[in-house]
Amino acid sequence: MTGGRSLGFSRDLDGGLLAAVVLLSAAGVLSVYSATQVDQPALAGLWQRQLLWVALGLLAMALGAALPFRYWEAFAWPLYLAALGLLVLVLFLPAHQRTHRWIDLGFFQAQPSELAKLATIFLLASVSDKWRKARSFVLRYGLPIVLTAAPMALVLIEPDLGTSLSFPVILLAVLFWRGTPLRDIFFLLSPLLSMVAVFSMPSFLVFVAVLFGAFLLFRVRFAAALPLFLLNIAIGSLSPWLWHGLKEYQQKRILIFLNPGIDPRGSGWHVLQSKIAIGSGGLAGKGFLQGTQKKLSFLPAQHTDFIFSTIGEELGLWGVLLLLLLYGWLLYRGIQIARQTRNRFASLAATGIVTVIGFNVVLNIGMTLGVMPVTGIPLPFVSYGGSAVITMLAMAGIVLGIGLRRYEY
Amino acid sequence: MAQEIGSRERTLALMAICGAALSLLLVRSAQLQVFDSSKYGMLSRQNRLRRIDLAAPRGLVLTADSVIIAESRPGFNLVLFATADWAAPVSRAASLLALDSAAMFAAVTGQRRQFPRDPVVLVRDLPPPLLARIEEHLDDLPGLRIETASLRRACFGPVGSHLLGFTGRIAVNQYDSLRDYGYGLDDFLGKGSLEQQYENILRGSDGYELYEVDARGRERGAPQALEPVEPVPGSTLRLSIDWGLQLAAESLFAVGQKGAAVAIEPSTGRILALVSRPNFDPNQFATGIRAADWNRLANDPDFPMWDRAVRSAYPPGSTFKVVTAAAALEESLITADGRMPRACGGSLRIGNRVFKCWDKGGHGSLDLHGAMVHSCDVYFYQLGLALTVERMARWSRRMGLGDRTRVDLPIESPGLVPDSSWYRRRTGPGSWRGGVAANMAIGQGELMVTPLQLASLYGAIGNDGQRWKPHLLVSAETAEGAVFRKELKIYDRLPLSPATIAALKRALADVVNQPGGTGGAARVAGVAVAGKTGTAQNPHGEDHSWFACFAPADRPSIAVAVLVENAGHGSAVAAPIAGSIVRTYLGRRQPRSPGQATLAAE
Repeated sequence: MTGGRSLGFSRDLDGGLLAAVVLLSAAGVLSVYSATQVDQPALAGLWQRQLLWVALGLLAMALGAALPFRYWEAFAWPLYLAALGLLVLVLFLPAHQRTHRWIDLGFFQAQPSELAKLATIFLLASVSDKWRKARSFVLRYGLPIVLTAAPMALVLIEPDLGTSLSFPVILLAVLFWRGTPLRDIFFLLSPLLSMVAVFSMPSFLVFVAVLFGAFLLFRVRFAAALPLFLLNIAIGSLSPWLWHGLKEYQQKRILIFLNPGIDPRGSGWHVLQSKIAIGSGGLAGKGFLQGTQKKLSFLPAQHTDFIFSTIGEELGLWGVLLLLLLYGWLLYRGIQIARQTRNRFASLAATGIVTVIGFNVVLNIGMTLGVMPVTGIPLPFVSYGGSAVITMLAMAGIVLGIGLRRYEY
Repeated sequence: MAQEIGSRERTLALMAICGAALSLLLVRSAQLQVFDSSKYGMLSRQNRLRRIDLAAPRGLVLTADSVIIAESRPGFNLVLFATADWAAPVSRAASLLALDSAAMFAAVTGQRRQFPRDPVVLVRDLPPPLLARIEEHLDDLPGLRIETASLRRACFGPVGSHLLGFTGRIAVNQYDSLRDYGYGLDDFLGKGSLEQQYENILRGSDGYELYEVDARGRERGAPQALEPVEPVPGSTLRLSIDWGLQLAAESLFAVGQKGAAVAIEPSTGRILALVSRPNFDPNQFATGIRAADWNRLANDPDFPMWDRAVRSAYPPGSTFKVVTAAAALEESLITADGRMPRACGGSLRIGNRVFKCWDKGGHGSLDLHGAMVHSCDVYFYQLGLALTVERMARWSRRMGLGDRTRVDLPIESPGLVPDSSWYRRRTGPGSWRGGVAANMAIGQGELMVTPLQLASLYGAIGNDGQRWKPHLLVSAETAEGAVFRKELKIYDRLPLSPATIAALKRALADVVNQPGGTGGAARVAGVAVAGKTGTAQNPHGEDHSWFACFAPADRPSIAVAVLVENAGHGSAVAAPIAGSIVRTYLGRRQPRSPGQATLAAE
């Protein structure tokens, strides 16, 4: 058995995933190096620190891979409660830039929301598998929703809208992967659709039509369809009321979040600058270290959230293609591990992690390309930042570890 | 149970979603980098961009007689744009201007700590010689720029300061919520009175222009690809104020006299003059007030920033007797020619306390009319005892006291109408109710009204019970002259019978015009003024002097309330001021036809 494990270690280690992660991290260090070649003393030497974060992250990855996934399952509840505790704690710590997102550890600023994402993945993977066949609706869906909503709400009031969006995505991924019928997923999502659709008459009519279509498609009995219909309408009609309960500037913030173009002084300016940087890169790019946009430091976060702009400017469409292929390969390997893993908890956890990574990639790159809202979500493995790099590498390590033990039950 | 999704389908679906999302990103990237590449390439070559805000001038404030009382003038600010390497140019600019560079450094680092990328205004409103000196050396000052700003000017300085308000720099804690409305960190906004009330009308929307700068931060002109966004100037406010009357009314107060005067057109509710003394100069705030000036204003024991006409409430004294009388008539406690059981002998004993009449000699036996004309306190003490605090409070509220007039100003005191539950809360049960009611009947004690409320009430009585909401805005026009907001004219009715109102009007006219009436000092030749004096006892010092009136008595075109703090008898101080205001206004109106004359003059 022991001999078999050492043999199995080399055979079951997912080299493709490992390679993708290492290459992305290396690309990250190089990009941070390039993005900080500007006349801002505060940015000098950050690439060396990024190197340090990656080194620490690789250690975390090794640790994540070494620990058997049973530990994660066994510690899912304590980890989750600890994460909630930290999320509450952070609200009482002094604000950085008017938000309560970071715990300052002196040498390092930790984001409890990163830990909360991982803890929520483990807990949802654990409980939703146990309650998968539960007859009670509450156990099957209600409790997972509540367990997702709690950290989401705490992150939302930090406020960190972007990160909070990860939580429902985790829930959706885990529910989907555990085999939830499409019908149930649809009716879990439909109240949200209703809340959005209710703002205009045509979209609301389309929504009602889709709802009736779903009743027919899924052959929902009338006795079940009527309350479902009324519930959807009721929840939908809440949203204009909630909307008008907001202060005008809060409404405006949400509108700017959805469409940065209406705020030319703030995030609209950043998106314009980012699009100029990427677009001017063209097919081949301006060459590594040769970006002119980044040198003028028009982007406030060109080494963190907007690092993709620098990559697009200097390496062009080919560089973008390469980066996206690396991410695609990483996601592909991750999904393969989840598929092959026999333990249901481990498989669900791997799915949750892979989904979060993919979601962050899409949200971040979409933001720099001007097709997604402006959020403070970093580009996984690439953006500068200790908390994010270490968490991401640790997550990748956990997936690798699950891959190593994919034949265990 | 619906069909579960199989493992194979799940895997394929998840991969398809990831693949589709990444492909969309690639397509979008290709759109920017291949199809729009030349456009963005050009922008990028020109994109050593610096955004220069183009300040929109704030709207004009015009009075009914077309006098501009507030306008905007251009000012020149020295602004720091560079986020790095700024120390050398800033210290060079400081030495050019002979200013303290340490203070400038502190200002820059102070603002940058919170708002690292917003430009920093180093010097505001540069005077011409300094402006010339800076412009000469601008090439050696990379990262610095002269920006034009729109600065507010109150054309008459302190006159009408409480009417107009002032503009001030946004407070840092306000900025967080205001930035979403397009305010910049360094913008000014209306604070107090009309500047605040109509901020959204007066404020335009700033434009901006994008300039190309070289590596050292020097400007090289605007790139062709991006059009400047022109500023939209603020709109014009047209007020109901008669500026000639406002000037005259202000001049009637002696230097050092504290008080307020409000004049209203009773048939419309238009405010003709709104005076609060002492006043202050709003221009002190135009470029950000200096600390020494602010301390002087804030620590002045006379509170010159406080608008006494709408924010201060005082005991109304005998001007309140119209309410007492109206309540008694409406409750059928008295008739207009009935007399009180006890004649005035100079005082009245209630319980074991003696309540004095202002006239020690006594007035003898009077009917309501006589009691009003001579302002006999003993008559009204008895009326108050019969009415009770509760009924007087109810009638006060019905006549609009104890409630804001809802004038279009940001802050207004509602005054105070105490009722029996108020007294119970305040003094506990068993307070001596009789004395309180007697005092309230003559407007002393805890009852409080603002000069604006009193002018509105007297105007409504003069206008036969129709009370128009007092207001200042007549119209708002865009800078091109298109009217987009009209005067808000609404009225309600005082709940008084025509007979009661007629009795009040007769009595008020005789207060001024009958020999021996207390309001003789407000007489105006050729016009019947109807009004009432008031002398409000004040625990902190000398009595406050009141006069409230309307004229001409039968169909008034003006109603006035005047209050002078700590000035003694209403008949001696406030009445002549009110009389002069009426005289000035009717004199100014004479040559024109009544009504729309002032607007037709445009």
